[in-house]
Amino acid sequence: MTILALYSNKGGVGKTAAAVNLAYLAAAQGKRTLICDLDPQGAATFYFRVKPKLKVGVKKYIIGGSALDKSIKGTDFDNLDLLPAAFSLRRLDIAINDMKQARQRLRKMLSPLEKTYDLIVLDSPPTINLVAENIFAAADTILVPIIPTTLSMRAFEQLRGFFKKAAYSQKKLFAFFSMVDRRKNMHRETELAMRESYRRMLDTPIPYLSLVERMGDERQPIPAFAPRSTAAQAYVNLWNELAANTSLSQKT
Amino acid sequence: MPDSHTSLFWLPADTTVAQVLHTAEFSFSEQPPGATTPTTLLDTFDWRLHARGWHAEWRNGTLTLFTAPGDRPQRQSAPSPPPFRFEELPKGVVSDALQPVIKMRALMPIAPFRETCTEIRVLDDLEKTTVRLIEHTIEPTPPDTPTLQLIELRPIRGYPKAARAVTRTLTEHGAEKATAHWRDDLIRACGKNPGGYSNKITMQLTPDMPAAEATKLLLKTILLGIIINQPYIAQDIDTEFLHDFRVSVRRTRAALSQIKAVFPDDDVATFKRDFSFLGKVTNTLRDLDVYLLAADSYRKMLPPHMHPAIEPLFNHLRAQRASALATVVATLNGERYPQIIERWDAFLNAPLNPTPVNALLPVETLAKTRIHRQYRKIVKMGNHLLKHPNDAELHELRLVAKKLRYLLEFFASLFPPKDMKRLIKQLKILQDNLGEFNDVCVQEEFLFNTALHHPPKAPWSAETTLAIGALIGVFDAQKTRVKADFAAIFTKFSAPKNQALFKKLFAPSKDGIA
Repeated sequence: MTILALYSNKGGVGKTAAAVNLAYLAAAQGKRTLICDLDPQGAATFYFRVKPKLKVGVKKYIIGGSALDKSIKGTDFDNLDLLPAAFSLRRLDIAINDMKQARQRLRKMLSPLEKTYDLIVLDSPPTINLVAENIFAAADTILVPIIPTTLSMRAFEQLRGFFKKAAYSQKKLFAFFSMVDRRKNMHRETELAMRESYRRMLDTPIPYLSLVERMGDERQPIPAFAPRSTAAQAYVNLWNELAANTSLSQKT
Repeated sequence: MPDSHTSLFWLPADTTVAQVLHTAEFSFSEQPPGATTPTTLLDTFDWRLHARGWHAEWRNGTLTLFTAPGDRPQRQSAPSPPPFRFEELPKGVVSDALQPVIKMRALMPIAPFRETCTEIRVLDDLEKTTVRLIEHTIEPTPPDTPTLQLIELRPIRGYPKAARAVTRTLTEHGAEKATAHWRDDLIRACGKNPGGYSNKITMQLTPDMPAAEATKLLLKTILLGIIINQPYIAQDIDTEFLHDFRVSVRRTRAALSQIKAVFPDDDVATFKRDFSFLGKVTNTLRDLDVYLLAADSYRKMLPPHMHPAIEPLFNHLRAQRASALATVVATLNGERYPQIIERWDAFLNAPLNPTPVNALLPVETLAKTRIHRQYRKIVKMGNHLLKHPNDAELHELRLVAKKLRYLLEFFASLFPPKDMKRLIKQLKILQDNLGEFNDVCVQEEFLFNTALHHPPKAPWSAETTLAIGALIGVFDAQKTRVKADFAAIFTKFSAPKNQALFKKLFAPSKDGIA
């Protein structure tokens, strides 16, 4: 089982759109996939038309097991399930803080799911806290969407510094450019600069496309309602590139 | 996600899923129906797949095998439509799995139908799918067979209430849960009876039935084997229609000669002649079928560099076979065959003639006598062979053993099943040894004659003659081995335990017997 986290310390960067579309593509390829919505705003949950409810409180959630299993919902798509978010997840870091081995709690919660799923995609909340640390420890690959602006570059440097300090493996950390508008000078320049300074910058950009915003109206992954669109193709390319560079292409 | 939670229901044809859901006020969306696809289920004529709970389906150039419920179906490509002769099945996972089961029998279309699928999604207030339903509309091909609707209900994880509610609603509107053997029900709906044909004798006789009546009953059952298989011989679908036809002919002859004095002598003589004719006229074709089925094993007996040299033999055999088949078909289409069957059928349905000595004897008494006598004969002959081994008597013994086997099969229902099973099993081991000996002798002789006396238009090439000679050598070595096995096998067969069992079951009582 592989765990892929979509993470950003900034909001509104196209993180959930990527999580949803990549999870859909993995499932379409035949991988048994679970998308785990860890963001109390519940955007991924919303995209799949699932009610933002959990059958358990946040303490039982992080312990996992059969109580958690009951909360998992099948999406409308083959091979793709969703562990929904609920507003109660805003207290997840507090719940984890009281527990032993506080940074490994998410890994422990997810590990029994190995029997059922080949891939777990984590849609992370945009914070650097104990929840994020759990995500960094649990994930095999962390994928960071970056809007190519100066401020984003600074935020990414901050994240890299944090990784180094906390001794997480840099090899897990990948990034891609999201909501790119090639007409903007800043975007082009930032892209160049960041590609030069960071090796694990994926080549595939996700351009700014209104179709991605339409996901909120359609409430489906893009390849499901617009399979031949540029947006769908962009995510396909992103998925293929990610699979080629990590262990995602292998089953289990 | 996995399909193991899918439920199947039969829905009466007078309603549809959409109507049911609409009446019960579910919110749902229905996709346009898919294409109507001709499909058929497959099995051998004698239901070999059914016997192990398997099913096979052909649709659109794809052959699918369903093994145990819960196993994943296996699929492979099969571009041409059925029937599939065993040697014509395209290579693939399905044909690999089927080969040991169907052996030399063809896969025939047993339940052809046209299927249309419609997908329906039950929705919640967020328009999330909470249950997926697939409505399979099945129109069997045979005329005047009603249309069926099979409903597949796939629950979505995390929405158990919805699945239960839909299940309840369907059931309230007349849906019935399909059993794990629903494909058998589908076969029945298409007018066939799964497992309905086998060449085993399964009739029940009662011990005090008059022997003549019991024998006629037996012979009527055996006659079915002849009548059912005969029309398929001309179609040349597989070799076993002829084989089962001949087995029934042999059983008829065995009953006529072994169950003595139950019918008037004249009748017995007439019918013995009739069925002897049917046996003889099909001998050549059956021999050639057997040799051609053995072609691969013949090749394996030769060193690889001699394989090409043996092919002309097979070509010759194939040509002979085509001619033999034409002869058999002509005979079966001629006048004599239907006359034989008509005359025989009339005889079997005529009232009992009480005159023959054993006609009114309780069948159990007669059965015991004949079986016991035949068994003693085997023991005597076998013991003699142990002291004075010789080929001629081995051949004789095979025929005597065969007659005993028929008797045991005819009268099995009169004796305890466990004991009979054991005795037949022991006898089979002896018969296999004697049968193998006979097969090897026959093949040696056949090959020798073919090589020297019956080439196709011109003499065989030196290479082919050499290859045939090599085969003869292999067979002869096999013959020596088989003969050497006889002593141990016979000793086991006639062991005191078996002799005691035979005596216990079949030794004559104090009443007079014929």
